[in-house]
Amino acid sequence: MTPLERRCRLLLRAYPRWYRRDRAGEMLDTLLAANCGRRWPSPRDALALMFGGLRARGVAWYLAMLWAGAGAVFCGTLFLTSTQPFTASGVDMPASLSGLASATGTVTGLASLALTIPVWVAGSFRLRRGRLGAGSWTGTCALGVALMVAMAVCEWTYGVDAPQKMVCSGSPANCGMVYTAGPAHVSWTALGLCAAWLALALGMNRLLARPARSRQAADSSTTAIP
Amino acid sequence: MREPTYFVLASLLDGPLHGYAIIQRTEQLSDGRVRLATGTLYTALDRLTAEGLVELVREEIVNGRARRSYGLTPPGAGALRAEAARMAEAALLVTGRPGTDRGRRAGEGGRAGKPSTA
Repeated sequence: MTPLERRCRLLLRAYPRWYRRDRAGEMLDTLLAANCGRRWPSPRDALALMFGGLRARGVAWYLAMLWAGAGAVFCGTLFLTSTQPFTASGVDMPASLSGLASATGTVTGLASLALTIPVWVAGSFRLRRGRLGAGSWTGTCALGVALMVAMAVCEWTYGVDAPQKMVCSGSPANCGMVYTAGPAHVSWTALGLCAAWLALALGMNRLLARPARSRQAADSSTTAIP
Repeated sequence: MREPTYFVLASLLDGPLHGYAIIQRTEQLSDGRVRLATGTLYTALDRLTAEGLVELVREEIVNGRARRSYGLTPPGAGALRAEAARMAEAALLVTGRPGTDRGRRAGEGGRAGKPSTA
């Protein structure tokens, strides 16, 4: 196997397995011919394969991965901000770093919150006639919601498992967590939640591994000119 | 119909072609303007096959890999012809203006009317 072929095969993994089973050989043939004499597939080909793969995997898969990804990143920032060697030694986290972490946390937190219903709807629609049906999908989404509740509890009430307390100055808007710990510590809860999100992403990937039900029978009569 | 779709269908006018041949023929027909990436081509072929404009004609094994050739279906040829007529009509708005220098120049450069004669 030439290096080019190995790299093309790697790129083809952007497509789901059911698609590759049918098309990978043919596409590899075309890719190798189109990139003949090169060591790497052209950037245009690489990009088109990634978009093609997303398309083949479908909207539900895409939304689900965004959802779980946002949750995992949120937990990651939670882990970062609550596992602080800085506070333990009485040194503050650099302002730029903590600002970046809190901005990332806000964006990913809001994203996972906003995506919950769309993910559930898209997946249910996709799985309504599958062997693994809408029921297990709803269960998976409920698991995600439980993770979000756990994150919220960690973030706002107990402050992960860090010895810290809520301090408010004046209005409730000015509340913040203050670390009171002595020894440096690792917030295993945030790390665990992050791992749980990644496991959820794997589960969702498995559930959505089949192709969406084909609509061609219904559409073919109406699309003479696309 | 978008331009790449149009040229993919047009590339099959002379008979069925396999993936890479479609890419080459498309580029040739469009004077190098439409350069399809492999992923784009197969997304288009999936869609056109689902819509019944293109069909799998034959499959052979080359270098141990499947090589499939695709051909135009009668509805596909019809859609292509309808699109060509539509573009020729649109081109005529400009190229058909009598005696205008601008119109003549646009007529020389415009490829829109060309496929209708093919």
